[in-house]
Amino acid sequence: MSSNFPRVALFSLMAGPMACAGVLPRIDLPKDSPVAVLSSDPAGSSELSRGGAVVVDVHDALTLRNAGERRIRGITLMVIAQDISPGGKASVTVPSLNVAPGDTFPVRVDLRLLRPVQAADGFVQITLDGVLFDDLSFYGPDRLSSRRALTVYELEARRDRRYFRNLLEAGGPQRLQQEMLSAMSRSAERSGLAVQMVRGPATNYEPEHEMRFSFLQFPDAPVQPGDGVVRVAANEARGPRVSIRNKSDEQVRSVELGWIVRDQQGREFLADSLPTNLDLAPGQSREIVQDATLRLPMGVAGMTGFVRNVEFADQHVWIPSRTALSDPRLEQVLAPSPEEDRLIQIYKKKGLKALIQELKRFE
Amino acid sequence: MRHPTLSELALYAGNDWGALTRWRVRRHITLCPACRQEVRANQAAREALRDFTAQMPLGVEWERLAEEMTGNIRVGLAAGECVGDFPVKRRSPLLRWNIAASMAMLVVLFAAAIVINMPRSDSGRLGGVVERLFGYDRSHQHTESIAAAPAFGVLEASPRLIAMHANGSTLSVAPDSASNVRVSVSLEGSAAARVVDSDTGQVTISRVYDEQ
Repeated sequence: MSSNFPRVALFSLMAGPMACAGVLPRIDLPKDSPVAVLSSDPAGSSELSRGGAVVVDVHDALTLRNAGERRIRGITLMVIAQDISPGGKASVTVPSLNVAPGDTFPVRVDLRLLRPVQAADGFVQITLDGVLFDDLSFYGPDRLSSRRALTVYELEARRDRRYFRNLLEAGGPQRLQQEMLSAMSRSAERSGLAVQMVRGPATNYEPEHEMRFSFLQFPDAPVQPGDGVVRVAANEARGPRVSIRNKSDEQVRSVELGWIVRDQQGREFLADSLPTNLDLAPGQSREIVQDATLRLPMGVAGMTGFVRNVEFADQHVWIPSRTALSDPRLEQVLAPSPEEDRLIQIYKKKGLKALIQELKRFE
Repeated sequence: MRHPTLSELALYAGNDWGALTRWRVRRHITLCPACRQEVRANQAAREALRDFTAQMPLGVEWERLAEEMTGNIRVGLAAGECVGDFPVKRRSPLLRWNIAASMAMLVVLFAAAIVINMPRSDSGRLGGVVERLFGYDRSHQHTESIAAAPAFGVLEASPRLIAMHANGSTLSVAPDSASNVRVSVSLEGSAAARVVDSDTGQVTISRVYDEQ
């Protein structure tokens, strides 16, 4: 962006030899973009040699302005690192926004690239993948399925704000406070288990066996999964597959499933999946096979599945209700929605009064 | 300052060290009068010993001594002939059983070390080849199988880091603080870290993907 040139040039002079021009991200937004870059601060970006590798730290604190006429609810920026192949693609999503036309909002990009010295130099490019507005309309190329993801975040945000508002109306501030405290307690109990995911069939040669697993059933879900099968070898769960039946009257485009994988110490980890191009007609069934392997630190002991959301052919989305998600097994592993996380943080930082004001802002 | 031991000084005095140790000891004794004194004492003792051994003991006649030794050898040979033939010493085989066993054990040990240190992918392939050589096919078993397809890239998600590793390169996101971070992986090929800003509450979801 030409408006950023003086700032970028000044930073380059101040940062000295540690940062070079190749590190600074290039920001390319479409001409008719509903957001504009107000400022870009790449302070802290650097490129350093470490033995046989080059470590490139890319940091950019962007300030964007809503240049459109509708309120922005979420945005996804795509970050492309030309010198990492295959892959080299990342994204930064900010959900739960409420940005009025003309207002500004910050977006931070923090990435680290590690590449061999022999690899060719490249550059980092930041582009817009999508913007979701308050009427659930969308703008952007949507290469990363941002439309669906941002719509799910927005529907979850509306569901959770409604839930907390209902608590406030029914039980007063004390009831809302009680719910916030139990949400914080659940959040602290969730384990942060490290996990690896490998595309393709298998990565080790341990003998494997098939393990059947069940699905948590949500009565109001538009699809019904049958029992699933996964191949288990030591600490790897390979190629989970399940049969899905469309029990709604509409064409289903995609189904996002959640996989709760339990290790031998009883710890549970949640993995997501997004089968695309499912195109399931009403009443039709289809088997979903995930060609991927999940690797846990400990041996895999069990697995459970559930439906996270369903996208229909007309691009509207179904998400489970708060009641359905109150299943104890889900509460143990399922992270709260980004909006619930945001509201919890407002309560922790600013108190109950600020939380009530925030809930009223969206009415 | 660490002094060389007495034996190190003695070996130095006899010029028995290698170049590096000799240089190190010489560097020390140039600075240390006590050790220099010890080296000189050793050298003086060596000189004295050399002089002493160069002189023949008093009363020894070499001519007579040589004649006595020759005579004793002849007497010994004659006595041996009187006793009879010496048993023919059997030539020992080049490879005795205990040596052969030791070598076999070394080979087994060496092979085991190679297999243990071999990458899993290679050892799996090797195992599969050996099984096929001996006509053992696992594909007939219902509950066990061997998979051999190579992995494409590895996605990693932990509270400290989400990363995509492929072809010796890594693309990662390391949140500033692990306390407000939630990580997840998607079987479609991405890993995500959700961070909540502690001041504003703004949620930022960073995601890395394993393909272009």
